Amino acid sequence: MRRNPAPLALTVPAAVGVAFLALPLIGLLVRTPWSRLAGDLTSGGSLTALRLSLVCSLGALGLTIVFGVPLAWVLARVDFPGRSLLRALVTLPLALPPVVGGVALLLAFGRRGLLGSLLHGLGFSPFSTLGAVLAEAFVALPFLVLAVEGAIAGLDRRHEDLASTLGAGPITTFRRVTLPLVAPALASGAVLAWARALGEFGATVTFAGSLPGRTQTLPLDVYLTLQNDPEAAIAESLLLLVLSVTLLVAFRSRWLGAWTR
Amino acid sequence: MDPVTLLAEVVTDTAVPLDVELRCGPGEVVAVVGPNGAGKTTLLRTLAGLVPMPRGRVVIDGHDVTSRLPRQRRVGLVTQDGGLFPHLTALANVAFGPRSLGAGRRAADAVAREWLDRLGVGNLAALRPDRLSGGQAQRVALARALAVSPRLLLLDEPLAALDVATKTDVRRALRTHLSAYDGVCLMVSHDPVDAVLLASRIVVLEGGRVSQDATPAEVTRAPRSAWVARMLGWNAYRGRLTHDGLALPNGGALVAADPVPAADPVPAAGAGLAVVPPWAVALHRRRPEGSPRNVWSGTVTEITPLGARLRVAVAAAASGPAEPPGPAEVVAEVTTAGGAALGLADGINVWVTVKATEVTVTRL
Repeated sequence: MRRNPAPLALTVPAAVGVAFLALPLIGLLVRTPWSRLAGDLTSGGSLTALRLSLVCSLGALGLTIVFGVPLAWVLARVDFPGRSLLRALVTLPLALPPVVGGVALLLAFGRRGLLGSLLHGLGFSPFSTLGAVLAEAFVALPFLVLAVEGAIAGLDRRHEDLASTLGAGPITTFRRVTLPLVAPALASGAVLAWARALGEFGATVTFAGSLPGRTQTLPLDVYLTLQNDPEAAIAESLLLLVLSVTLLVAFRSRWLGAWTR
Repeated sequence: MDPVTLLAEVVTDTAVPLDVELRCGPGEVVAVVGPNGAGKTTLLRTLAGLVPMPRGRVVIDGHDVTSRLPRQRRVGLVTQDGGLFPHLTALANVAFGPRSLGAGRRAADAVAREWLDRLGVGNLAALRPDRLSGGQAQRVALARALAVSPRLLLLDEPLAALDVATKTDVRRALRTHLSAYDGVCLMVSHDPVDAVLLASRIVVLEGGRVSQDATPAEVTRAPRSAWVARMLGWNAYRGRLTHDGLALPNGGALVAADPVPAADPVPAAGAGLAVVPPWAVALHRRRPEGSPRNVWSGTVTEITPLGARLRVAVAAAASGPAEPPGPAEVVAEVTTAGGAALGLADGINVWVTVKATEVTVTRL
């Protein structure tokens, strides 16, 4: 017995799609200055930017988990007027151009923003590592919230009901039943949020500027280096590529499977 | 007055609105049976505090728990598939209740181990639910519910998801533990056999209301609902009460020896139910001699072997000039030998007789 061959009308566009995704990566690998790679990457600027990127993206990830998980629970479990509006609002940063996000952040938390004088009084300035963390958290939050909210909403409510008949209060139930049951979704959401934060450019440069060592993360560094030293920029791009691929490969098999199902 | 462990007046606004009153003594095992959509599960969930109750009250051991949250009610709930937490081991599942109620980890584990041992699944303590069979999961779920020493134990179809062999096994475990339990146990079932084997009392729920509340013997002797009668394989007919029995919608009638229930103050009026056990239905090839009170002719439509007996379905013939037709369909149970002697086969004409003493009529 033979299966029908896959129709060309589908396989050809699919192959074009793959080529479109793969060619830029191949170009990057072909043009990488392998001989001076080590030197480029260990130069002060690259290492500083890499370290800053890791610090900022992990900080942003921490913020999205601390605020995103409770937000996801509220969206999934609490019935209140305007819930669907709030849900749309949470996903807004996904659709918003990051630059616009940066402008919006400035208008809220910048020196002349809504909370500007209050935050300034507390010693906060957007042009700081904390500013870069906020910008990255802003764009990364929806990834985590969407993944976790979907998982909680799809959770069999019986488990939570049973926990309450067994004497568990709402916090115990959340901590010991709800959270463990959505752990796979939380992990995949966290990976996506982290990857998004790691690659963040527009909101960061708009809101926090590009100060070496403080807000100039690796993507910003790549963009600036490209003007003066394209080969060094290629080396840094390769670094980001390896980082992203490692992230995805490390978690894909274990967690993303649960998320995509 | 007898001691009362559970006193409940349950009135809800759910899809099938409940209007149920229950009074149960200590150690009583009550089976709640009824067709799908009768509100059985809703009744349990309401008693557990998981469904809001706009009116009514629930009193357990003299404490009014109507306004208490589920976790403050001391009820144990076991659902159809056990409802074990999939991420916790059997031991941690059972220890969950004691820990939530404030016991330390060590103490809670000790309690959990004791209950698992008591239910014969102590060797499975370290396994997660996906490694347990249906019967094992049900035992662990029962241990988990009992580990919080509930005064009211709610079992929602605890045997429904099990295969026949496992069912017998878990049923035996339930019998053992329910006989030693001094709280009230309400067990929902759609299988009257489970109800008869496990419960000392059966509450039949239909359309959110109690249609019968009696001992298993009483329910099987004189079912007061069409659903129970059919589940028992009996013939059940709705109709209008008359002075000598029941008038059927098709123009026929059934005559009963004891037409109006003795305890019923209102004579002959309104909707009624007549039930006839299939072994009380006799079949003949010729019009029978004498004067049986219920006699009609019909056509055999189906013959099903059942052990050494045959279940024979007979569709009534259209009304003859001499006597009114019987019920549109009746099922008779005859011995295989008797059936052969009659030469029973699909499509043949037979005469049906039922003694008036075998027809039980009740008000609906």
